[in-house]
Amino acid sequence: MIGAVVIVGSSGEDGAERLLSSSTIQFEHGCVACIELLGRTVLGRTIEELLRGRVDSVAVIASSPFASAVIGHEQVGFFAAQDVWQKAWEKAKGFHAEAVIVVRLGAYVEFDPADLLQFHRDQGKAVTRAWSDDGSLDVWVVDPEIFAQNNGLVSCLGSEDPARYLVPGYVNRLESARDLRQLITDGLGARCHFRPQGTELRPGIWLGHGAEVERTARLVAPVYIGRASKIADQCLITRGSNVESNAKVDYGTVIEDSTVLSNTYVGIGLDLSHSIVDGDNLLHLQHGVSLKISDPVVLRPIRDNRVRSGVDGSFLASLKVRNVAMSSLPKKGQ
Amino acid sequence: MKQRISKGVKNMLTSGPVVVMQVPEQFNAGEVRNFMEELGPLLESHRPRIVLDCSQVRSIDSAGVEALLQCLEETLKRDGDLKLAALSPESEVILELMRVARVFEAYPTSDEAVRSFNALPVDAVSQEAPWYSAVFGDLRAVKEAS
Repeated sequence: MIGAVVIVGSSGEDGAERLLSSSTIQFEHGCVACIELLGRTVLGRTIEELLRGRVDSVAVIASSPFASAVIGHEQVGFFAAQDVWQKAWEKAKGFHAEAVIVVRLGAYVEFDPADLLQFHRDQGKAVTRAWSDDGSLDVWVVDPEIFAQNNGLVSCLGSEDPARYLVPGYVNRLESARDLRQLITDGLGARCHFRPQGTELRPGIWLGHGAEVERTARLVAPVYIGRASKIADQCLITRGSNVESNAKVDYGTVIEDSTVLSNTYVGIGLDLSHSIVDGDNLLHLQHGVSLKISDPVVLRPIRDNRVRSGVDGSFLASLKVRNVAMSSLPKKGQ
Repeated sequence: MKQRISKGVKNMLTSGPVVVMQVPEQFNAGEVRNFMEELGPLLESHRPRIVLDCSQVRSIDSAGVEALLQCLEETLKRDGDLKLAALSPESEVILELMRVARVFEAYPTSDEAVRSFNALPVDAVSQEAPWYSAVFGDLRAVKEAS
């Protein structure tokens, strides 16, 4: 049996930060892994890949309860905990598996779990860690035999010099808002497996289920319009933009090289470019400015009784903090 | 040389015939009224030349943008001009978002904006009746006669 522990966030155990390869975009109630992008979260996609790659059981440990909204699979258990590392340690021991894969999100890493496990067996070491060209990644395989010699998952992962598995696939560390936009454009451009969820209406034009695009609106590929979102007349959506689920872009607005996150209203006659918007928060990537728009005519969150897909209004506000105080955590084992 | 105007007008400096005015930090519906009251008499003068210093601005809403456009319209109607100076990145983003950034001439500092007015001295512009007055003058005469 193969078990996997997916950690969302990194609160808890001392020393975890030294172990982790990098810091990712964080917001008040979670991290970027739980935000719907091209119709699906990084968390959901990672779980799917694990299950496809011969993993029998997955435990998702998150510090925020909303992450449960993106999970709906019998092989997947969700556990909320303040100390995610402690909880992950308990779950890893509880699998009684021949090997445990540990993934800490939110970098987006495309790897074949079966290939990783085979490499781990071939190397004969107790711990294997995934690497990309630019450093270590937060993906490990651990032999349960070493659990007895350690008193926590962090010490377990850092206990010996691990075997290095070079990930042959696509990696996006999602450390900044630019990385997030890069992931979108790479997904739309088919440069990775982060593909849009929905129907490809015409080459490069993707529509989620129930998306409404008025007749005089123009979609210029590549673009993604998420499920149940609405694009009003005379709008133009282009240059790798994505409008996520249940968002509305009103009459005549142009959206270029931008991301509109779920449940966001974008007003009439605007020119949105090189930006990420979430509710009434706007992050302009070229100017490096994060703004809260107080005018509901321009931008506002759409209140929805349905469970939000992991997006919280404070997402971009915290991105601002991350951008100002961006410092990668020390990398271990390089 | 700049000189502060004292009577009833706050945050306003004159630099020769050019008036420099600070735009409030929160330029929203609440502030627009006061701002327009302060600027009103100036807008009604002959050939108003105004620089709006936006260095303090942190947020503008649609009412603020509307006010800027209204000021521009009034100055242009009176053969004057209005220029923006020291736009903060925040205000620049909002003006771009609302598609009005290209409507305004913008300069990095108030001094540069003031100097831009002097690039074409007032004296160099003919103070006589404009070229079209002959045509329209005749038309007016025809209209009055009819």
